Amino acid sequence: MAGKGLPPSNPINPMFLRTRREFLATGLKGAGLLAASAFAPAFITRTAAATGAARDSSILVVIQLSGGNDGLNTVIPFADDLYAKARPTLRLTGDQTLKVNDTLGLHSSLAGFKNEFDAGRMAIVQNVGYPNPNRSHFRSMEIWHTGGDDTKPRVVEGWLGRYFDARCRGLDPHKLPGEIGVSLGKVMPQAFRNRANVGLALNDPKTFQWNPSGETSTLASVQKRIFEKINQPGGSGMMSGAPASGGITGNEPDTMDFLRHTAMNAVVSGDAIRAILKHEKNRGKYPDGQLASQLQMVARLIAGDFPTRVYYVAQGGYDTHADQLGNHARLLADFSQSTTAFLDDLRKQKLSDRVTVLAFSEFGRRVAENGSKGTDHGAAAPMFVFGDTIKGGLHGTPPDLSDLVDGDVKHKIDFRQVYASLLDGWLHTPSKQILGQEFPGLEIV
Amino acid sequence: MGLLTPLPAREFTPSAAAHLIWRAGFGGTWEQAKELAALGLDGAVDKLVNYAPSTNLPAPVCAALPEESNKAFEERIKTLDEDSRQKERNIRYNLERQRIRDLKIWWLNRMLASAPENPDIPPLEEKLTLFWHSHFASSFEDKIDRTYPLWRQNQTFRALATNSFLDQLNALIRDPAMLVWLDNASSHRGQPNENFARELMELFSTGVGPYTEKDVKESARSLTGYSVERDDWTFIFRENAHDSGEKTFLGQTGQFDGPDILRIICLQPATANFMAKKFLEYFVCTQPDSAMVAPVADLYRSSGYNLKQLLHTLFRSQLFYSERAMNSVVKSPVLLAIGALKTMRTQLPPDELILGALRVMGQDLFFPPDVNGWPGGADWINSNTLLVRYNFANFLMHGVSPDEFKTYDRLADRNTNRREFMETQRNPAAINWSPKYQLEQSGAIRRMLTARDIVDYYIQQFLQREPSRDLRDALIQLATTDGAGGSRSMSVQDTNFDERARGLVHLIMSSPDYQLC
Repeated sequence: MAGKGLPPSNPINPMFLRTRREFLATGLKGAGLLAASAFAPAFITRTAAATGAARDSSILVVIQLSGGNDGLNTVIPFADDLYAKARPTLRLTGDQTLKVNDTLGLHSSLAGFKNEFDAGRMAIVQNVGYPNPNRSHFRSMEIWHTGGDDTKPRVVEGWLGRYFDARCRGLDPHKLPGEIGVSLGKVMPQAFRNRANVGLALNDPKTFQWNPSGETSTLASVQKRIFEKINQPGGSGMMSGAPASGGITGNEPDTMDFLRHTAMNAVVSGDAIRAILKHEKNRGKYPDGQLASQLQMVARLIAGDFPTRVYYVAQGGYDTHADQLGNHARLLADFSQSTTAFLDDLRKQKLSDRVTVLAFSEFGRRVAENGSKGTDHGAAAPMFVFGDTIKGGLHGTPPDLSDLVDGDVKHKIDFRQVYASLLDGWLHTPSKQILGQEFPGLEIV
Repeated sequence: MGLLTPLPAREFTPSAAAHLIWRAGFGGTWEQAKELAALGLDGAVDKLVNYAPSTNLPAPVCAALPEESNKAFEERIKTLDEDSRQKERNIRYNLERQRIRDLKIWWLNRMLASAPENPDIPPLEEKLTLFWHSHFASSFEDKIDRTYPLWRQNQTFRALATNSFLDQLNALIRDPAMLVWLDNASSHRGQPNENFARELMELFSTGVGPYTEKDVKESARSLTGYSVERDDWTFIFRENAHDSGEKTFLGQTGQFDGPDILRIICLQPATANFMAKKFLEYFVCTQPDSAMVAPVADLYRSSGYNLKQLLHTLFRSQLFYSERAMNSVVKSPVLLAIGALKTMRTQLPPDELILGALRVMGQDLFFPPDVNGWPGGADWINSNTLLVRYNFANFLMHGVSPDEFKTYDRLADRNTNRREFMETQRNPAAINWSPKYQLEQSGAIRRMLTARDIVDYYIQQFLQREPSRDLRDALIQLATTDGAGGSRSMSVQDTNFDERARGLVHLIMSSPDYQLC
């Protein structure tokens, strides 16, 4: 990372000025203790310097639908007899859908999405998948996160992690030094994994601080200083004593450094995040539930200019092997209501032209239902892109249920074509360098 | 067998013994490590590994079946209006929620009481039960919603902890909690449900690789009919739902049923490899390479999947005490918490606080994140969890519980008395806890003359090994700076010694060193 000071200045939008100035003040003050400390690692001072710099760059929000969303009961080919035949208990008829044309309809839980679609702000990319579909949740999720597939050597770094690495190398003219990806939720998605190990998993900002125990403020500040010293990234991880038995090389210093890095990253961003959350509010009403609360936090962080261009949220529960009908309807309602509340919020705050939302699931589900009124793991399925500036509508062709692979929908569009379109067209980063090869882009952004 | 040759007996120091008890159990005190070391390597490993399994553990009160059967319950509420029905359902559900909380506490107390010198609660048995809980992961949430089947499953894991892998798999395909959790209970011939069959190979035995999609489908057929009587949560084989036709599975053909499938799975070299890697990751080191996995897999397979023999060899091996293995594994939240409490010789904190702390640290017992269990290793650590671990240390030393421990768990979202619960959480009297750790209980502390002695004493008590140089230097710096920012060495005669010593231990536990064992 080369980052020195702020990126090239852009025309200042007065709307953001207040927020930005306040943020710079509070953000830097929050990080002050560390930034001023002799032990402050370089990346921390960079984060502090970059604070507020994300002002007018484009932002990507990824929504992961975990478990394998049933694409056929999301965008429903109601006119297809083969669909009706394969789904004796789960099929939805044309009248039960929100029709987008004569053959396809959205699930009736997706009323909010139907509005977005009609306004041209929702793209449905049909039959998305990859070669040799893998029906394991874990392997398929890994493929989506890394942008690899089973035809190539396995990669462990995430596609967004590589994007951050590329930005650090200076590929992006709007480069923001010290930028980090933020995942709302309990764990760090593999999509964020990269060499620089940056990325935040943010569940509850209250947990992002170390509390000293000293009764006097002086003792507390001494403790805080010692804590920073103990957790200074790049410090020695070597044991001062000899190990009991030698001969096999240890990997412990790496883990030690990872732990220190994570601790300091949380401390510094915690200060900045709490400062933002103190004065940024959501507009409009969101439904209850985890996805909605994650998106609420994202909207506030965007409004407060938190320095990242990529947010990651997830909604679980799509592994509908049994009793799918009611459960799937509830999941889709939550997905649609939460997402549209988020888009409305951004619109009210005049931030919507800066944000594109991408929704995916690790696979679709088997065309034929199983005997438990559910569906097993499948292959290709639709992906969704939302945003005020995107090219909405249907992309690709409807699923061909007469031409299946092992009973599953064949993919016609590679998911990396969608990634490539967003990297090139929205995040302004050459996709070839992130994905390792050229994937033909789609007209979505 | 190079890696598995035993450690020379003289190298089994108290620090090596501490390493053993953290890995084969849940840690302990420095005094316990010294006692274990005095038994010698073979004696210590024998004591930990050759325990008598707890096959007939009495069920805790919380593990009872609901007094009213599902049928009787549905019958009773049938005539009520929808509001009252929902109310009744909530009452019933809340009772189970309370029960599963009690079961977590029951188990944590068992882990805490486990000790090499306690024949009733062998530490390795509880450590293995936790291993199997994560390996064959089922969650209370969504489908099971009952404490009783999870208690039964937990007891099966405990009783069969070191049985052969084939025994364990045979218990698994008859485990009511698992059969419901992975939808096999409703799988019947003609339209089999693939969920369980797929995970049985991918996550539980062979790992991805040796099987095809066809094998998944054929094993799903073989497992049809392995079901559950939902009213009393017993296993039932539904003959008429079972597909007794011919199947071809992993190259063999026959009218296979569940046990046939398991027998074939255990013939696959992939199975021993996959499990060997998991055992190594859990007990020995992160990312074991194939040179390490191969001899362990060979031993496991050639011994008829005898885990006791395998662990007996592993815990005595050069590999286990090598630099590659020592201090290389991130402690799970449960290990971190139980280990610290053992070192402090204190009781479990109040239920809601210890459960809240474990939940935000990422390990909520009986609620693994998914069927893959807890990924473990470095995945325990992210920006959400790490500072919580450090603030948990503050809680242990000072009783100060961060707000995040007091948040209601996620199940509450569909619960009507969330507000009520939040009220009790706002009442500080309900959440008080005074840590029982007596800093000055040891006569040894009286002999500590310098700040350096004091630092080394607490490092020995809590870390039980050499720290990284940075850590010791920083702690000495802390111990030689007084509360007013001046320079004055800490002494046991200080009036504020207790506070400063607790601050010191808090910082030991807020170090990267303490996260590893």
